[in-house]
Amino acid sequence: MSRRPGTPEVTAPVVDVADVTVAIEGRAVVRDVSLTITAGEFVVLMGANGSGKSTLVRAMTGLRPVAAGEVRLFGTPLARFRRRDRIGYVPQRAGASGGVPASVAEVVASGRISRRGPFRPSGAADRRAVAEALDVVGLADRAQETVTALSGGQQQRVLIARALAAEPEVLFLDEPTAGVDLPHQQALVATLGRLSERGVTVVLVAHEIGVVAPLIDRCLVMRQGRLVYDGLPLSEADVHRAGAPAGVPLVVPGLHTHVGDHAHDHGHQHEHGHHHDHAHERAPHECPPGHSDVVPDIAGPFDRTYDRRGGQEGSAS
Amino acid sequence: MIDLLGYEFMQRALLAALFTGLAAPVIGTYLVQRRLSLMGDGIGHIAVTGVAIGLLTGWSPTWTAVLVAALGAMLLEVIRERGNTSGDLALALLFYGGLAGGVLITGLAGQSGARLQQYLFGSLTTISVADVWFTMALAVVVLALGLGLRPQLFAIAQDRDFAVVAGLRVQAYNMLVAVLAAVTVTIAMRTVGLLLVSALMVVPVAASQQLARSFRGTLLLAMAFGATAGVGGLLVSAELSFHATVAPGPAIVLVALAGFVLAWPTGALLRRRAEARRTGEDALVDDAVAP
Repeated sequence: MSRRPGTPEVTAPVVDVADVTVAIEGRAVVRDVSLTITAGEFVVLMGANGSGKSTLVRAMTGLRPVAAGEVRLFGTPLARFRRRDRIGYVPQRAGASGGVPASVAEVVASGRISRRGPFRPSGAADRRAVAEALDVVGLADRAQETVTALSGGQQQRVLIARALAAEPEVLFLDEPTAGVDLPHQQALVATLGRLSERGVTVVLVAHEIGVVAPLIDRCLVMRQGRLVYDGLPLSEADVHRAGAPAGVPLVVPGLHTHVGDHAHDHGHQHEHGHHHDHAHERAPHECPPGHSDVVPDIAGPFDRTYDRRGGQEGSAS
Repeated sequence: MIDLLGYEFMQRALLAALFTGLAAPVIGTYLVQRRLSLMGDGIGHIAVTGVAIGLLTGWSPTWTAVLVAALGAMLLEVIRERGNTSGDLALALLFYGGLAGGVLITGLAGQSGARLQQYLFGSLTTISVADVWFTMALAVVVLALGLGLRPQLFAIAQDRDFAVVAGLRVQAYNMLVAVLAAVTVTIAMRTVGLLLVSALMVVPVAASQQLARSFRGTLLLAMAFGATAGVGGLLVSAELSFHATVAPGPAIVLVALAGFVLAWPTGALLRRRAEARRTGEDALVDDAVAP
């Protein structure tokens, strides 16, 4: 959180995924995926239920072992990566309800765990980080309430604040807007926008771009475990002009596409400006429909009804 | 009442009840948070075999109970961690195996059922000086680890995946909680007995979470409920024992349950009030957020 864009600490990419295959019970859920994410990028990882997008993010955070290939964070192989405070993880579901009540402040404070050793009481730095994280998600006034008393959208923001409390440089979010109503989704987007402006790298798993569109730098689309698109989000006009039917490779000049070509040119640096002042860009962005299994007509971008219809991605990933 | 407190056996019993009442709900809180309320019960059943081995071999039943209960708890944790569908069934097998094995071995040892019953339902008033020291020492260990590692144990119980990503050694901590649960069971064995052990770990938590809004609050209030139930139950049973045979163990558990019965409606009332306040606030927040 403390890094600013343009800080001359460059060198290694934030996330480096090289030829990664992830198998769950013998079935390859992620197949031979390679990608790099550089500091400050706002990346959306899309795909239908069961496409492997959640599994890929879980592999990036070490929650899923890789069957082949390697994941590096900040240049260090995941197995040897100890600076856990540099990464923030926001899980798919608001699993924030244990059998015992917990206050918002307590859940957010548990995010400091990667910076606190055992038997070390919380210090001023911990309290300040918790207060700041609550401030960023706009829940400072609810700190003393029980988490389960909040709405789904607010609970999701609590989980984001928990990830932020460690002051991470990269934030992995697994469908944070699932089951969140539109006003609260917009509050969430405002939060993510503020983080992105501060230079935090964001990797967001989503069914559909929806309200996050103005923030996105880069779009990744997964289908059946493979990365089938990696490039700029397209404006709606571009999508219509291309008019690609499902399954047909979409070729738009200047785009970085990988359809049917898994020999990803690894180490490709994604070069385009990080203009975080998106206020002037009113045109909604979409990833190419021919390359994702996303149905754009589904109302409420991350609506839970979508999950119910499409089956639980969580079980497969 | 005052006369009773003059007896040395009563003073020993009070100390044991107080320390047990303070320590048991600490581990109980983590178990309840992880929705493992009955784990203490399972460990208690396994500890029966430990006690029986002590009776058979002539070693201290308290020590053999600690050992067997800790081994059983670690085995439970391994089974749970592997998370296969038969995990639930495997737990049941361990529970019944522990109880049946204990009764069988006690028989082999040529001991009467009455001897085992001391451990099954507690025998606070026959507790020895050595047992009091043992109880207090183990209770202090449970309190130190349970309270000192609260941030870590809370983070893991709250959200395992998040704790893994944050770099915590989740399996090691879970194993620690399992062993601490086994130790707690053995501490509480002398007070309320192995068959009611789980009650002293869980019922105070059930009562306090009706009233508290935070994890820390639940934990501390549960300790207060537990200590009150331990001491209160013992005094009630002592007072009543002039008229009838009232064992301290069941009296302690019933006092704890009475705490829950009182806390429940109080908590419901508090929650309803808070909800009324919140719906008012939420309407304002939604107005502010909506475009």
